[in-house]
Order: sequence, then C-alpha cells, then structure tokens
Amino acid sequence: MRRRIPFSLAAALLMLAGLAAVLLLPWFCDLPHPQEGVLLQQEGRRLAAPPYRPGQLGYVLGSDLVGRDQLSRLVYGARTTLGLALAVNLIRFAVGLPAGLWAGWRRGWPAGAVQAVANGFGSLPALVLALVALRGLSPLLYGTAGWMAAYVAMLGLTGAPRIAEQVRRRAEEILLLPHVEAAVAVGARPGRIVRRHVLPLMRGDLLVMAPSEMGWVLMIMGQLALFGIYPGGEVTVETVTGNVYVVEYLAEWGQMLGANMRFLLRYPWLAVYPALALGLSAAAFHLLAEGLRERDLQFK
Amino acid sequence: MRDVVRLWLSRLGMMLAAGLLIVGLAWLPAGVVRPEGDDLPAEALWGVRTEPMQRFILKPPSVPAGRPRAYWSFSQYRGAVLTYLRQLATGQVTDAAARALVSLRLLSQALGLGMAAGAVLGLLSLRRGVLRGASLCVTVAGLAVPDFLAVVLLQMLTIFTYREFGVRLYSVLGPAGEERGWLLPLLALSIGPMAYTARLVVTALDEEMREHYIRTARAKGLPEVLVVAKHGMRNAVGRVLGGLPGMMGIALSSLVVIEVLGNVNGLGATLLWTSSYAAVATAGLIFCVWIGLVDGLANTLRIVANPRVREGA
Repeated sequence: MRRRIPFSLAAALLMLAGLAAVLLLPWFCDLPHPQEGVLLQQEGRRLAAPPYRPGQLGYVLGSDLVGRDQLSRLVYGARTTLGLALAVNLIRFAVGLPAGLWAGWRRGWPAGAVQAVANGFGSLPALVLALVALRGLSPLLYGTAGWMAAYVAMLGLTGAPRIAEQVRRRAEEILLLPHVEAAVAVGARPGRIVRRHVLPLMRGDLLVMAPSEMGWVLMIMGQLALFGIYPGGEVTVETVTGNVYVVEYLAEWGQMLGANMRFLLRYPWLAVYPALALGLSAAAFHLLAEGLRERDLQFK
Repeated sequence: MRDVVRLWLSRLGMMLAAGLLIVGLAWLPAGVVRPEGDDLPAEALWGVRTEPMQRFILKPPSVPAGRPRAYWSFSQYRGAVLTYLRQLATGQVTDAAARALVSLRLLSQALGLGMAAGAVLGLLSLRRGVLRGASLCVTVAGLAVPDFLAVVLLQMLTIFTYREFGVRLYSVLGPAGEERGWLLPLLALSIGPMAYTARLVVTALDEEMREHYIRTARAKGLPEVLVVAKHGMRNAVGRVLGGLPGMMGIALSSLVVIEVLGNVNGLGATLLWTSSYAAVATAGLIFCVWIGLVDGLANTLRIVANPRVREGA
C-alpha cells in the first residue's frame, strides 16, 4: 500500500524549502551589503531621512534607522540566526544524548541525578537563567567573539538537561525490551548494545526531538533579544554635524527584533519582519517534528 | 499506596537537589570581582563617523585581543551563597510571597484555560479532514507564535480599537488605581499551554487509537464516542499527565515575558529586572516547588489511573 505524506510534513518541507531559498539567495541575487547605510537621500525634490518605509526609495521591506536595507539584513540574518540556533542545538544534543544514555543504562543514582538536574534547570526558566548568567558574567567576557561563544554555550547548556532526561526515559524503556536483555545475557559490551540496539530504536524519537528543539531555541533567542541580550552588540553612527545613532550591528533576527522593539508603533516594519521570520522558522521546525512523528506512526 | 509514598519521597529529594542547583546557579555572578577603577562594559562596541548623504559600510575596527578586566573568585561566591542559605533558613527572605501569589493566580488561570482549550483541540484532531487540519494549524501557530509577539500584537489591537472605535479591550488600571488588566496577559499566557496540551493529547491519542483493543471495541459495535472516552482517553491520560511538568517549564518562561510586557507585578517581572541575586534565587526556588508539586501530582494521578505504572516510570 502506498503511504501518503502527512499534511504537516508536506507543509514543513515547503516552508523549509523557502528557508533554504532565503539562505541561498545572496548567491543568486545581487543584494545590497547588509551593513551598507545612508543617512540622507534625495527623494524627488526633497531630502528623505531613514528609516524608509517599505517600498520607499526602492527599499522593498523598508530600511532601519541608518538606512540599511531591511530585506538584505533579513536574508543575510537567516544565516546567522539559523547558524547560531544550530550550534546551540548541537551543544544540547552533544551533552544531553550521552548523559541520557549513560543514566538510562546505569539507572540508580545517575538516573536520579539527571532527573534532578533536569528539574533544577526546568525550575529556573531558561530565559532567566541565560539572562542572569550572561548579564552577571559579562565582565569576564572579552570582545564580540567571547560574548557570542558564551551566548551559544549558555543557551546550549540550559537545554541539555531536558534532552538528557527525555533520552534517559526512552533508553530505560528500550533497555527493557527482550532483544536488549538477550544481548546483555550473551555478554555484549554496553557500547555495542547502545550502538546496535538502543540508538536505532531511538532514531525516530531523536528525529522528532531535533527539529522541535530547533523551534524552541529560535523562540528563546527572540525572548532574550527582547530583554537586550543578543550576540552582536550595538554600534554608533555619527554624522559630521554631530547627530549620533545607536543601532544593532549584527544582521540577526533576534537582535533586529529586540533592538527595534521600542519603535514598534512608529516604525512597525523594523520589528515585525524579524519577528515574523523567527515565528515562521519556528513554525516550520515544529511542523517538521509533527510531520516526522506522523510519518513514524504510519510505519508502526 | 506504597508507590505513591515512594514517589513523593523521591520527588522531595529531587526538589532539594534542584533547589541547591538553582541557588548555586543564581549566585554564580556574585563571584565576579572587578578590579578598582574598571567601568561596566559600554553600551556601544564601536562607532563610525560619516557624511549624511554618503553611503557607508559598518565594519568593526581590528582591535587586538586583550585580557578580561575581571575575574571570578570562589571564596567570594561561597561566602555569598552561605549567607543567603543562612538567611533562607532563618526565614529572613520573605519579600517574594506577595508577588508569588500574583504570579500563581495568573499562571493557574492560564494553565486551566489553556489546558481545557488544548484538550478540546486535541480531541478535534481525531476527526479526519478539515477539523484535523484546523486543529493542527492552531496548535502549530500556538507553539510558533512567540509569546512576546502575542502580547505586543494584542496591545496594538487594544490601542487600535480604542483609538478608532473608542472600545477599551483591556484596562491597565482600575478606578481605584490598583486593579490591573488581567485579560490580555491571561490570553497571551494560555496560548502556549493550549498548544502544548493539544500536542500531548494528539500524540497520545494517535498511538492509543491504533491499539488492538480499540479495534476490538469498534468491532463489537461500541459507539466512537465511547471508544474514545472509555478506551482511548483512559489509556492516553497517563502520557498526557507525564508531559505536564515540561509544559509547566515552558509556561514559567512565558510568564516572565508576559509579566514584564503586561505590567503585572509578579514574581517573573521581579526576576527579570532585579539586580539582586537573592531575589532571583528565591524566585527560582518558588518555581522549583511549583514544578515539583505539579510533577508529583501528575505522577500520582498516573499511578492512580494505571496501577501498573511504577514510581518514576
């Protein structure tokens, strides 16, 4: 019998194809440099100052406070945002997967420890934890690279215990299956049992967990940005006449949203487009997780 | 009964361990020592100077890497943590109680509303076709729409309706100057739990409804409503309850954002704006107790619903 592709999976693949197109767009399209700005332009017979509205002076999605093209920043921002989210996710799984497997195998106090750590990290919302730690430890960090590394590490470590706990639960269930007990009885080494018998059965769960986690990471990046924690920092642009503008530097969706939130009512395009980009990307990853789960169910 | 007692004992132990972890983490920045004369990091990293009509490209200057200006001292950290624990043991940390009540009220109402709506959405997904599609769309939108965006959009809607039509959807201050608007934060906070519950119900029911006993019940001619209610839901409820602590963690994260944006004077808002590590640690401990209680309660209900489920399973 031919199996149908679930609607959610088809929708997710469509949205992810769109996301991939955005990632590849700079190679096929001549976009302005994301950091290229201008503070005054001739519009007909008058001078116009940024931020330019969507459609004004050829800016499709408008410009920011110093005349940088919003479309270009959103397109280039996809690489930074998704790259950071991916790095955070990799840290979460690199720490959580082995810890969860080990706790599931050993049971007893390691399982209790993983549960306690997961509860502890779950009790202090990841947003607050990252915020407090990044704000408090900021004097120890030097430069943008140090700050970005701490940002990724902190977001990664706040989510790892939850992954470990989910993996532990699933591993304990799988380790009770008869074929695993048989492998233990014939004296197979723990590493081999985990590699040959546990991980293949867990593959479906991990495939669902990974995109879902990506969606949560994007969301928390947006939340943190709202409270002024973002990876790129701010820069000043000063005119020779003495006007000074303070704007966000890095083209990253969370940063673009957080830094421009205060202009939401006056210049809504500054914050709404990055928020939409974050929300749609998170939706694509959540849909992918849902679609993979439904697809997995079809094979059961 | 024995299983329930063991469950609560293990949960108490875990809450204690988690509490110590929270205190340790919240006080981590207390160990930072700044040398004399060192300023806080400047707002802006660097700047450029340009002619107004001349196009420019922002490029960071090539600054040589330097040493961090501060260091972390374990003895200072230990001293701060011990002082806090002493204050906590002697009952001197009490100022969070009133704010905790405000947050608890908002959180419990949002959880109740969100979970009820989520259960309905989850049950709707059992029907094929448009209803399932609509339920999925609402669920995914609920998971994907950032909470801060939901609050801000609702606030914009309030401003728009008041400006254009004179209709006030949300009151910030009541006539006495004390009552705060509650509907908007409540709606915004309930979106996440609604979507999460719907997803838990759909996941659990999707798997349960494929079991052999469901097929048998249908073959015997039992009406579909009874098949779902008596066989599907009864067995799915354990898995739904198992996901509640996870949902609570996500709801607490949203609570912080919504309390700040919705101007609610609760624990979450304190947690975010305070510079006191004691306030952060106390709020974390209160959240830890809430999550521990929800976890314990959910697992107790699982054991009561299905005696085959053992503690910690």
